[in-house]
Amino acid sequence: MASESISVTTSDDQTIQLSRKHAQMSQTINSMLEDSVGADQEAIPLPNVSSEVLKKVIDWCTHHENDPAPVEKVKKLNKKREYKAKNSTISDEWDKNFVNAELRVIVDILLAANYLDVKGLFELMCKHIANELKGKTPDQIRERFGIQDDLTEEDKAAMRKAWGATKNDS
Amino acid sequence: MSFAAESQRETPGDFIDHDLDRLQRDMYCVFGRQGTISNADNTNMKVSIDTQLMSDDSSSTSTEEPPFVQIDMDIASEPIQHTTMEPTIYRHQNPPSLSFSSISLQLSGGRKSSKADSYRKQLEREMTRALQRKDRDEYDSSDAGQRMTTDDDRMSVVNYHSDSPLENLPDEVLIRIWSFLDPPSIGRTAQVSRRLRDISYDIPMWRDNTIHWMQNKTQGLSLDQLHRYSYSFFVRQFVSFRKGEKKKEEEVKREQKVLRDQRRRTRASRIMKAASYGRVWEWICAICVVLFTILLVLRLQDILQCAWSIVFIPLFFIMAQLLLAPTLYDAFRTYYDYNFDTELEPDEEQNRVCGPIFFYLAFPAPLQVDPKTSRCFIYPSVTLITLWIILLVLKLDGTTSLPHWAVFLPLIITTFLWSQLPLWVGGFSSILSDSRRIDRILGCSVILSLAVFLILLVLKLDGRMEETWYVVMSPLWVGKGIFMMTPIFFTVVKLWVYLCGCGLTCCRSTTRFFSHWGTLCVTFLGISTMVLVPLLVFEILMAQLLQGIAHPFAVVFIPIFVIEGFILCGCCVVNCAFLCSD
Repeated sequence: MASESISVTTSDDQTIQLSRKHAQMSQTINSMLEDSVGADQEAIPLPNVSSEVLKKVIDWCTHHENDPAPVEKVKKLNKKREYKAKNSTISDEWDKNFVNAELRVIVDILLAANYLDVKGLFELMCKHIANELKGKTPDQIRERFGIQDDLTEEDKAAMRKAWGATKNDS
Repeated sequence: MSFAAESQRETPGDFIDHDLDRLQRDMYCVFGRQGTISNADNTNMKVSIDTQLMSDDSSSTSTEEPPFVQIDMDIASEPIQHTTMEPTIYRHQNPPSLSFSSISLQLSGGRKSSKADSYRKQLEREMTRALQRKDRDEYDSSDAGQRMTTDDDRMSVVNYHSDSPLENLPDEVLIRIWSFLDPPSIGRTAQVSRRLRDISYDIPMWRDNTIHWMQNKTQGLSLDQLHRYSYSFFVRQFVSFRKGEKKKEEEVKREQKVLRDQRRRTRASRIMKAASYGRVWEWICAICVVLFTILLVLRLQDILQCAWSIVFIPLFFIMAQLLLAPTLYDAFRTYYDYNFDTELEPDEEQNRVCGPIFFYLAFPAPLQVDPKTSRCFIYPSVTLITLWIILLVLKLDGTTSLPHWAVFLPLIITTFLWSQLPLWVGGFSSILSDSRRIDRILGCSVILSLAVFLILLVLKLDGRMEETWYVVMSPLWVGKGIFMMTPIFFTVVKLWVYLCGCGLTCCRSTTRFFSHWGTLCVTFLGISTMVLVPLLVFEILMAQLLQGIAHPFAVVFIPIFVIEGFILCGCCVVNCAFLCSD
């Protein structure tokens, strides 16, 4: 293994140093490191991540560096995709504060986590957004997330028909 | 493979070497190779990667068709600040870094490493998004939906009009988010927009969410079973579950409503008890009666020189209570649509000792059984008696010159009304069909005798009748006679029937005296000795007094005091017994 510190270049062209331990929490960087074994220690380009977001990610990684690695779940029900409805409660207090940010930032972190393949952070952000979605009426969701209602009346009628009377309640 | 991008910019000179370097680096990220920029000047840019995708990855690639990527772009309006590869990163910058007027993306792949694949997908996605934004700005929405196809991946471009941060998320990520939702929430989010609806119809997610949800909600469905079913099954399941939930909610709501009503009723009954139905009020009323009698005697003896209205104050108080009690009850009954049958009834403990309290017996009990008839009797009689008392006081004080018949008219009407009471108990229909006709006719005649007495009294007072007071009083005695003779008469009839052994069924059907012979005999005897005999003595004495035999009033009223004493003692004994048993 090379040095303990790894430098990455973010989209806004800043070079940020992060420890190898943190870098390895990202599967993407990890695989890049493995690819470039023996190569010169040059900055890894991360064209999809801005420095601001990366700092947030590093914050999270610093706090969770000692967490046990996520256990690979056995894909029992569905071999192709494993979507399992999980408990969406965020237990960690630090995480609760961490997700307490603007929605745009949250989404950026989520995208970065997806790109960098940081599982824990990705899950956390998904949970947070899921919690935001829960228990809201369609109108409230539109308002909260700034989504325009592009469903036609026929769409809505079809949905109502498919779902029965349960659609109209809140 | 080749990667070509042509750019057209309004502000020449912005396209600097730095950008080209970045482009090179990005292409390295995406395709694992550095490409060459063949044509780059101020207005046009053509970039190509002339090597095959991951050609250095394995030797077998060379035999396959080379992976081919071609991107044709006309870059207009905004100056380019960064490379075309990363529209997603810079989209929050102001102004947006680039916009496409048209784009066609063709990717045809041989073997690729997973990393390059994922990058490529990302590129596709970002370009699609950029295209959507561009279309929203410049074209009709009908032009916006475009379809891109790749050999190994199909991706439909649907036009989503939104700047929401949520819309920037790729579908996979959204589905991951959705996987944390429960079916009710999915149902609601599906109604938000077209894209979210499409996300919500992801079957595996749906299935897993529903299974998870049901696992938490119910038992009895095995996972293996559920695994086989289709999407519609789960929707149906969910709907049925939802209905069940609704039923439960309704039940809870109903229970809450019942509890709330219960509380309100309890409060209302407490108010009623405090206002008129409490035992205390009965005591006060009983004492008022005694007080009135004493005051009356004192006034008649001229020991007390006050106005008659003061003498009648206790009676006014009683009348006020009698008026308040049914009004209050009726008001609450109408308001809550509930007849308070258990609340106002004295509790069982009390009930066993002394029976229902007077006010309950007088008003709520008949109103509960038959509100219409009871109202017809209660309100007119109470009002008429009150009117009579007022008129009597006015007459006695000499403020009004009304004749006696006018003063007594309300009371006469009341007695006539009461004489109908035994017939009407149980409603109109029971008059003809009731089997206890004889009892009722007897009760009716007793009260009618009172009415006859009142008429005679009025005639005598007005001086239209010259008969003695004994004659005037005689209807009362007749009525009492009928009342007291009743048990004897029925006993004789019973014996006769018993001895002869005939007509028993006929008698049973016309009177209940036979079925309750013992109890009724005791009741009649009790009433006779405690009330009727003293009353009879009082009336005889009164008649003698009016005929000119000078009894002092105190002596005349002794029987009345005896009756009141009986009542008070009875109440006292019963109450003491109740208190002791507590």
